[in-house]
Amino acid sequence: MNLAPLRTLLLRELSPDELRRGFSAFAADDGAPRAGLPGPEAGFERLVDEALAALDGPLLGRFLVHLATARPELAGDLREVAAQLGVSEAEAFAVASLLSAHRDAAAASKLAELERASTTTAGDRHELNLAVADLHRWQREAGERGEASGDHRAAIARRLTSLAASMSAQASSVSLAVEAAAIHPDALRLREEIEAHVRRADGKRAALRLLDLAERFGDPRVRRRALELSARAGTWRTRHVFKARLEASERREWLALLHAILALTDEIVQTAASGPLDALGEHWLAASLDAAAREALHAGSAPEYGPLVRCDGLSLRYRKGGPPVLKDVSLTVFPRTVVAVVGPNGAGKTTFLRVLAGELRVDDGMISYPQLDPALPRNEDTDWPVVRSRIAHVPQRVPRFRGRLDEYLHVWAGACGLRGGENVDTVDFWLERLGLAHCRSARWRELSRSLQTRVALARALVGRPRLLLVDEPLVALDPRAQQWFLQDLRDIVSSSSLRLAAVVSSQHIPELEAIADDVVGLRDDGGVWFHGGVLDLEQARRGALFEIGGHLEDAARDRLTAEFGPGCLRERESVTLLRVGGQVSRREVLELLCALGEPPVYFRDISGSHMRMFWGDRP
Amino acid sequence: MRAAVHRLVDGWAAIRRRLQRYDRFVLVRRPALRQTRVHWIAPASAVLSLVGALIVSLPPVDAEDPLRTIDSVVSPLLFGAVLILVLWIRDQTRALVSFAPLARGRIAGLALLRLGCVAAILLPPLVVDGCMRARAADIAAHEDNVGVALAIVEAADRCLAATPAPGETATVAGLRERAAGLIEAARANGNGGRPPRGPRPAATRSAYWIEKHCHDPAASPSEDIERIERLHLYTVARVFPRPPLRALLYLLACAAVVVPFLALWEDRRGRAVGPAVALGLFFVVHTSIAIGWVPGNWSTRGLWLASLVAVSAIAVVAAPLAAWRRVRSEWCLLAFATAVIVVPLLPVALAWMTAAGGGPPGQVPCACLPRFGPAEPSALGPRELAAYAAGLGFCCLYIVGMGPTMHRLWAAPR
Repeated sequence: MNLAPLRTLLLRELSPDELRRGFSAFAADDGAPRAGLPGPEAGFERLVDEALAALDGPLLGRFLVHLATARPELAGDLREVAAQLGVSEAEAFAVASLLSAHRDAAAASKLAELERASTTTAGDRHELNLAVADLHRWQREAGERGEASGDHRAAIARRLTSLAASMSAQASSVSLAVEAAAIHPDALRLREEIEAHVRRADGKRAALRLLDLAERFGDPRVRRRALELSARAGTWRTRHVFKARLEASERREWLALLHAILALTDEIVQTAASGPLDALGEHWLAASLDAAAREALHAGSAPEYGPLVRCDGLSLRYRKGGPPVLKDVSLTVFPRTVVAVVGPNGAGKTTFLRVLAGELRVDDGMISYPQLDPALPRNEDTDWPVVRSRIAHVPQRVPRFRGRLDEYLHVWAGACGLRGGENVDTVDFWLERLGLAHCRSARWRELSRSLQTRVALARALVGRPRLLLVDEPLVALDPRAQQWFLQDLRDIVSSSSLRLAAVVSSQHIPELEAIADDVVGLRDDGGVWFHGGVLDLEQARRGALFEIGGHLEDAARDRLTAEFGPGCLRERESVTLLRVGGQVSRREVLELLCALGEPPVYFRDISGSHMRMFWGDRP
Repeated sequence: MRAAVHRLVDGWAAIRRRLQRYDRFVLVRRPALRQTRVHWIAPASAVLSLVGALIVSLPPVDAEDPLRTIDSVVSPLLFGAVLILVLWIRDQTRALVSFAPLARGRIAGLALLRLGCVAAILLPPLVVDGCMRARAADIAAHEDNVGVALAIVEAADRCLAATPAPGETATVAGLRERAAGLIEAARANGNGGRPPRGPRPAATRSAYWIEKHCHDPAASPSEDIERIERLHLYTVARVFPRPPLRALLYLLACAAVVVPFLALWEDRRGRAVGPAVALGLFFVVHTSIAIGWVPGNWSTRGLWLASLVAVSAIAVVAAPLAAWRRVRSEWCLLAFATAVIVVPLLPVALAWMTAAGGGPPGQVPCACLPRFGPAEPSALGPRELAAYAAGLGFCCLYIVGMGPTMHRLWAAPR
């Protein structure tokens, strides 16, 4: 083994004391022999030679990683030397190098890749996640304090590099494949999400996903433990979210909480057995099976994959001869999907949801509930009491309640047939899951509009529905509350044991797009403007739409019209809307506007709003 | 002082916490009980009844005006009970009910629970009244009361001898007869089983009572007699509850069973239930005329009763028929609502029909002097009781029978 490059590097970059300290610390950490180093009277070259002689075999690689951890700025050079020496922990140097360059996000991604590629134990994985969470926390605190580096960061970097070294040294894959086959894929997916939240130091969101995991795969005892952890995470969030710096004891407490979340996650995941269909995922229909097995799979898998609602050609007028409210609307809703119903005011969104809820009878068209209606296989009339008891409708005007919130939910749970411990557990779960636990004793008038919307959602979910219809939930919410609400809705729909689907109506198209699987766009006359997946929606948009504030001079208007074609401008109250083709960028439009004279008072890209989608509806 | 206040506040908080725990326990384990509030109504009713019975029984028999004090308790108690009953029925119409299919057993259970609640709400005034009657019988047989009766007899004799006004003669003679009857009853019961408290001649006793209650020297002897009568004999001899009140309580009991279900299944279909309510009110007004709450004449009662019976019969048959033939749910709801609103009026009308005479000749019933058929108020008889029980039974059975159908119609799209 040619140690010359390493020797040169050590002689160039380190001082004798630094080498001696590094060697001592490495020996203390890894239990390597400390004997053999000469005293201070010996020369630096002899010291280096003796040190290299003592580090034979695997110890050499570990020492290099240790050195890279202690001196991240040397990570690049050490990596090259390690490659020449044939040391296997090359990824650890990459992580150290990224951390030394303060590219923390890239380092975290690299670590995640390493973790996925290696056969780490649960303990290693937790340690890695907690270290990354600590790094995120440090970033947040450093951002508040305006500091770029520090001892704590160096300690975290050493810890992460060391973890990267140990992970890259491990062989990959065989046992992981065994685990993936034995465990429910959704449980594994949820675990990944929880770990991602932990790595982002978002304990509350991790705890909420843990609740979802426990609700789906855990027993009541585990659910209670998850509830306790979620409550602790909530308290932490409330107490420390704005705190610039945690004390050492507080940091330990916080890390202990994250560790408890990860440990419980692992415990639940280990018990989440995979069913015969789960292993096939959503491709079970294409799986190669004999006829009997296929039939059995069809019967068993219907609740998971069969459609919940199927409607075709729905038309409705409120009175004979009146204007159509719905015109030839079709939709199929599958479990674990979110369908967005979008459209301008008066397009019939609420009416459509009421039709789906079984409140209104349609004039024409067919509507059936394949999984909700027990009468369907017998070709009898729809059993509406059963169907409607499995549908939860959250109207735009949220119904008031009397008394305290938890009483109200307990009463509703009782009316839905939940008794005793089941009633208590269900209500406690949804209160915690939807962030209402802190106001469980509140009365209606004490709740904000945002909380009232959540209460309505909690009431709907307490009844264990299969189909959730939510009408304009975002109307009174601020942008952050909207994101939180929609994320919760998406999480619940995708992972709840209820196997439910949600149909959400709103005018907030970009927000809904972020969580929806399908979109139904209704026009003013009740017809369907668009129906398809979210990805198709972008293609359906014709060009871009910009909102320009302030008064546009005639010359500017003429120039814009000449550039983008007649009819590209529309006046709206105090703003002008400009429609352009899809190939024209924001930058080009802004440059043109600036070239025409004064820049506009304000300029906004509203291509994602409903105004763009329904440009042709109104003059 | 401050410490005592703190202890009081802490004590109240502890009690509240316990009550909340009890409420939550019932809420979680027995939602139906919580829905009807029977877990509060039953204990409160028992406590009120007990306290009322104690109040009635505690004053000594020879205390001054024992019955007047008690009588002033019963009527407000009954008024309060009726008020609470009405509010409770309103509260029951707001109960949260799921669309899930409603089994007949559950409907029957709810109906019986609600009847139990009605009984519990009406229990305190009835218990207090029952105790008061027992007490009144005791008091009537007491030595002093017999003395009052003797005094009335003597005063009446004096009054009759002193040539009273023409209108007074009959009243005074009637009073004398009642007082004499009371004396006879007391003697037959062995003077209430109590020994006389001391030797006091009858004439002295009369003078004592008359002096005690009739301080106005300008008053005539007949006025003295009326005063004594008002104080003692009226309360002893009265009937409670009087027949109109019994009819009202019966109708309220029917409403307690019917209205919550009807309010649930009506579900803003006002056009369907409105005519049924109007029809019911029409017959209620008519029945009120019959039982004397509202002025009116008796001439057309046969016609009204026949129309009531006909409407009831048609509605009772039409509702299941409409459901079977799958006519529009509004029509089905109308027939059902008519049946459960109108049929309970039948027992009241029948009790009115079977009442003898329809009032004293020449006397027009009026609101200030309620009468129910016969001139004297009658106690609750077995026939009246059977009629009311049949009415209540019909309400329960009809709702149990038609309930699942109505629930299905309620859940169907409009």
